[in-house]
Amino acid sequence: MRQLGATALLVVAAAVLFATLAEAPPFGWQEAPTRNVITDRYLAPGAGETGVLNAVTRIIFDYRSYDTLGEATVLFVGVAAAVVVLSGRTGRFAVRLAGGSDDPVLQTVTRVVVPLVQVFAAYVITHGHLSPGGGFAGGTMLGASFVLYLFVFGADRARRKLRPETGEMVEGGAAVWYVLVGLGGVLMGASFLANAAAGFPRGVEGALLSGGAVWLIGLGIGVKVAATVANLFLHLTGED
Amino acid sequence: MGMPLALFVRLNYMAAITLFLIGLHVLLGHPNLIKKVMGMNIMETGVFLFLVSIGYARHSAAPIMSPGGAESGLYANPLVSAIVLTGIVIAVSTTAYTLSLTIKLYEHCGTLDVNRLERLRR
Repeated sequence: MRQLGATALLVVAAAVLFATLAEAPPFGWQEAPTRNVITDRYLAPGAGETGVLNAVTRIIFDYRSYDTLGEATVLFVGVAAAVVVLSGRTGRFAVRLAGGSDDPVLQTVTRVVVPLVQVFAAYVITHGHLSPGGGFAGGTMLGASFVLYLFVFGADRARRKLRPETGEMVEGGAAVWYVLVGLGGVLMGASFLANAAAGFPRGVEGALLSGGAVWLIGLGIGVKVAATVANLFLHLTGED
Repeated sequence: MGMPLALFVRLNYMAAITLFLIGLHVLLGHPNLIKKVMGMNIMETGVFLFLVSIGYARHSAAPIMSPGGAESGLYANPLVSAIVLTGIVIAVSTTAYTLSLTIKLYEHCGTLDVNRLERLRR
């Protein structure tokens, strides 16, 4: 009965979606209605008014920085809720998720790969204003390198590398850092999270240290996301 | 423009909707809770593909300003990419929370099958 209801709902949803699709603007249309004055402002040539070459980074850390602060809060709350649910593992069927592996091939490859991943992650975080990526992508990579270490060497050894308390402090500290950079804009007489308007130096176009507040916020987000991913997996696999 | 051609020039959107429907089917029809979470993630992937596809214009370059400008003078819409980034973060948060609840449920009930869980309740 449930299966039948699911299939019926699926057919209705498919009919509605595909019927709507036939009326949508075609894929790749250069004059699509989504390309309007707002897109043109975001796609200002050169370093523009933000000092940032990557237009996506411009949006998330400058034009819509407040939105990203909310996004970081959602990530924080979501993971905090997960950690609260997982604390106190008392059930009868408690599972041990990461006991580690004794395989020498796996361990050696991990030893080689983890530093390379971390160097690349540092590059992606610090060059978010110049090339694809940025704080979120690089932070996830940095966190993933720790997750790889955790699953190969086991939760106990991973906990010695990064204690959960330290991870939580880094995560909270990075969130505070974001707000402090935003308040810096207020301090310099502009609005909260203002960048060039607050007098943050835009720097030379294309230089590593350019973009003002965008670079600082990207750094904070990278550290925060890495700590969040590492923390989440420490708690998903931990016993306490 | 006939119906087949109308759908062909929207191939990306069709793929996105198909992914969405596959995810919806798994979410509604599969009894295993972990599979349901996977179904939810496939649905989200469909939405992300749809949004990113909206941002593309033919021959457009990635929205990273090069000194000489794009070859075609056209960049992909960066706004939808930024929104997809937000969406991915929300998806990660909800997945983390749902999975932690699932772990807790397994530790107390010893099963992830929805039908069995319903029988346990009685």
